[in-house]
Amino acid sequence: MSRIKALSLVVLSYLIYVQPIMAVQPNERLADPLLEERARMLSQNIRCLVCQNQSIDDSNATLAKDLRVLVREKLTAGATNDEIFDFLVDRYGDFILLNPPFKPSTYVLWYGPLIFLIVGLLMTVLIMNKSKRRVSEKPLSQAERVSLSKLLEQKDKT
Amino acid sequence: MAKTIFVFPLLVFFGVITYFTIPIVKKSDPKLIPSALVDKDVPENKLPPLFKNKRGFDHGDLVGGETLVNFFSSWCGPCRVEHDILMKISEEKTVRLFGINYKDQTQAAIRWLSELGDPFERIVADRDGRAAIDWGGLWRPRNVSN
Repeated sequence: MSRIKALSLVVLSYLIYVQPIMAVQPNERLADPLLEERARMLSQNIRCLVCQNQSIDDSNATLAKDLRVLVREKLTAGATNDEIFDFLVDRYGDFILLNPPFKPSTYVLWYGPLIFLIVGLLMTVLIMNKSKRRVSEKPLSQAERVSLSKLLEQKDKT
Repeated sequence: MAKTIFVFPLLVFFGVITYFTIPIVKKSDPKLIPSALVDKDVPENKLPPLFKNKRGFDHGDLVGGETLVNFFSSWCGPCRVEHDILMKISEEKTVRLFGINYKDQTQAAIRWLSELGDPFERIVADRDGRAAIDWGGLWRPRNVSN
């Protein structure tokens, strides 16, 4: 009995101590909580160029660690967020930003979905207009009306 | 007119297919990103020489003539493969070949060079990897030509 109790305690303690897994190591953190929060915010928008689909905040790659430390050093030295992003873009290009910048070369990216939506709507309107016209284009001819009434009579008989 | 417009989605579809198929057929590596530093000045560096008997260099030494700057490490596997090519380049003497020893221990780097040969005219040491970031470096040593 006591063994089961002890075992369940161990299991429970594991459940309690579940923490979000972070790549940021304790010794990297800044003492100032405000700066640290900014550092986390910035790192979440900086791509780890080794793993490429992770931010440097999530990645365990050594380059990600180097960049995390670099971001924190710059913050401590009083750099603004934009200065830090610019510093990285100068070296690695826009690809290092997880949130692509809005500029002429990315207009297709940002406006693309809107253009597709407009084209889609236009085509829908065109198609619907056409089908409406097809139904009410012209009245039935004499011959058509006769054959229609014949068909209806047949239906009534059965 | 009304009918030709319905060809449009099909054209877009084939356009997209072509765009995404070309890199697959060409077997290009999607992880390779074009460098942001092409046509720009070489980043400033004030790194110390790797060891006493060999001169170091700074960004000023790269002016005039073409120089191939190679990041290398004794712990880096692909560098071993690359080293043969570097040795050939240094024999041909068409470009100057400078080395930056990346995140390495000096003794290990010296042993590496004495074992495999030393193709470099000058070598500096980037112990914390900070210079590599200035050069747009990734997870392991990389070549940069000027």
